[in-house]
Amino acid sequence: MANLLKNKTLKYTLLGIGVLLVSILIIILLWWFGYTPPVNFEKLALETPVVQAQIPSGTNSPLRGVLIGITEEKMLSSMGSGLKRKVAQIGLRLAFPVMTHAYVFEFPGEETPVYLYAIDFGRGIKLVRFGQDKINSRLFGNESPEETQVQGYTLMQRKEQLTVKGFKDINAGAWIGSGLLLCSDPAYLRKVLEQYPEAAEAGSSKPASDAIQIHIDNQTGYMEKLIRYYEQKFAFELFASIDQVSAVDINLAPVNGDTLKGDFAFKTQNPLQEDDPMVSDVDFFYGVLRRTLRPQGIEMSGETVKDAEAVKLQVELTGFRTALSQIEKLTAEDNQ
Amino acid sequence: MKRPFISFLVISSLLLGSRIIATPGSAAPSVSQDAVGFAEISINKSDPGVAWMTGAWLGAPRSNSLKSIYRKYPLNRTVVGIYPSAGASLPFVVVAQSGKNLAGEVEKKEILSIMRHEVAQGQYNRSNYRGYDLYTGTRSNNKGSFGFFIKGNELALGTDANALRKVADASAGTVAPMSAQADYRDLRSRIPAGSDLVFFFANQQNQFANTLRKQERKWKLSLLLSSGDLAGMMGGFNFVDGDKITGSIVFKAKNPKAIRDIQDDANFMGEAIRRKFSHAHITYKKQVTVQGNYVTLSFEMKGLKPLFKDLFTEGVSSLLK
Repeated sequence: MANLLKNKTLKYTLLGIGVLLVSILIIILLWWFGYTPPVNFEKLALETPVVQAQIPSGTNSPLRGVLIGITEEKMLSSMGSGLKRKVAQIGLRLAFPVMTHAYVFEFPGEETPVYLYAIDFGRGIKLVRFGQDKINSRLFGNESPEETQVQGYTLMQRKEQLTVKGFKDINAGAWIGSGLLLCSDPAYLRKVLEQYPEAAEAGSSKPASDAIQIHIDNQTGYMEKLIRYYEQKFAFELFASIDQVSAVDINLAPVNGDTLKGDFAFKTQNPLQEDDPMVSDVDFFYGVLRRTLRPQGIEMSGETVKDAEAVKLQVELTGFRTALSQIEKLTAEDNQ
Repeated sequence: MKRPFISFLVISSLLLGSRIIATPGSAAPSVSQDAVGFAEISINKSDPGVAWMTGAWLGAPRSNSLKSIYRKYPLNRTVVGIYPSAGASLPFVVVAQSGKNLAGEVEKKEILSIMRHEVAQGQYNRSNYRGYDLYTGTRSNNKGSFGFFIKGNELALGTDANALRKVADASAGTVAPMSAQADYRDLRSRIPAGSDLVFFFANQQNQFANTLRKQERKWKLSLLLSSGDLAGMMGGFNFVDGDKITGSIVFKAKNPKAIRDIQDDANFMGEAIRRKFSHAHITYKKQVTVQGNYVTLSFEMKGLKPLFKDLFTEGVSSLLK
């Protein structure tokens, strides 16, 4: 070895390789840790949404592991257990979203609401961008989407628009900063992009908490319409006092990868009476929820409590991992 | 609300709509012990509630074989037995008892001619089981199988030849009937005497819970959270008149620790019935009580006439729409 090192050419070659490797590593690190503007969720809702949900899945969230596990199960199951799968697994873990927001907007005179989703990949966007074309074709089918430039962002939209029947009907998308926006209505997404701040001004997507938060506004009667529709359809009294509910706030914090704890707060602007029918309605809702979740392998325990402004259903859900697998399975069945 | 759940709530009405008839106190000796459960109803013609309902059923335009048989040979008791199965559908048998002998040559011929409408091209295979002629055939449009046999003043019909053979076994006394079970006798003493309709589900070997779970997976809804902890469940309904029903459902716990869950189920079931029927402008009162290992849901319903008329005229779908 000593003799070999005495060979000047070899010595400089090895040194050169070392310098090259270190430089590549530094470049990779600079690239990976370099700034990418996070999605500014506050700038996405142009109107007050009737439903707003946030699902944090950052590195500190116990949800991340579960969500990654399920995605692996779905996407990598055909890869066997070789090196290819290992690399794909590492890639998935690095590129997995850190936060997802969902919004539902209602407009007067419009039959269907507008659904908007914002997925923030954090640093993972740098990897995601490598597979951007594949993602686009998964989203919009084999026919490449129509692309237009809006304020420096590329708005992609289906050439043939889907009739929006539900939350899964996506007609447009755009890559912004570290995230991806998806929307059922291209015109609405265009408006979002037109007012979206320049990359440098983008805010922070760091969640205020690790909890899944859902806010449903009933001031305009969004939930009341839905409930009354199903009551009519099934000739069944589901939630008679829904007109008294001003909003529902759901807050579910992960205790570990399998358990969620939190509450469903049914808020009202009218003072609650001693034996307010809303308590019985929330109790019944709890009963329905428990019985709907049980066949999916989720156990729900809890109680209904009442304060001056809200009836709260405090719950603990276990078997959450199973629940998410079931959701995946159901989605897959729906897509078939 | 999911349809299967609603159908569960109205099971007793369905049983009546499915032409079930019996005498108070009868012990349904025809359903063998390996069944999941059974229901029996009496037609006591002096009972104003049952008399009104029989009249409404007979007067409704929908026709079926049992109605045709009833017109010729009035029935006084009917038992419906449900058997477990590996598949999705549950085999059931109906044992209808008449005051007259049905096994005579003329009667048999008449019944066979009515029953021809039940199967494709009226084609039955005849075999002999325990001395009875067992007729089996296939329903039109691949709607499964159908079979029947006649024994004295009883007609047994059903969707599964094996289940019919078990009925024959129980009738012959070679297999014990469900009504011989200790839980049946125990629960029978806890429902109001003189109930017009009685149903019983046995669960010592988890037969009811397993059957229910299979259905629950299909429906994606759990009807009874405590089904695995029940020893048995019995309901007794009294048709006071065409408009009013009183009754109770008794849940017997196998595991006393599950009383809270059972109580929750009874409360939920009562509340779901109230919500279903309050929408149909039916008055419903309920009370759930706990005594030792028993949870009892007692109820009273009024304003049922329009519902029963719809049921007999339009069938089960009128309740599920």
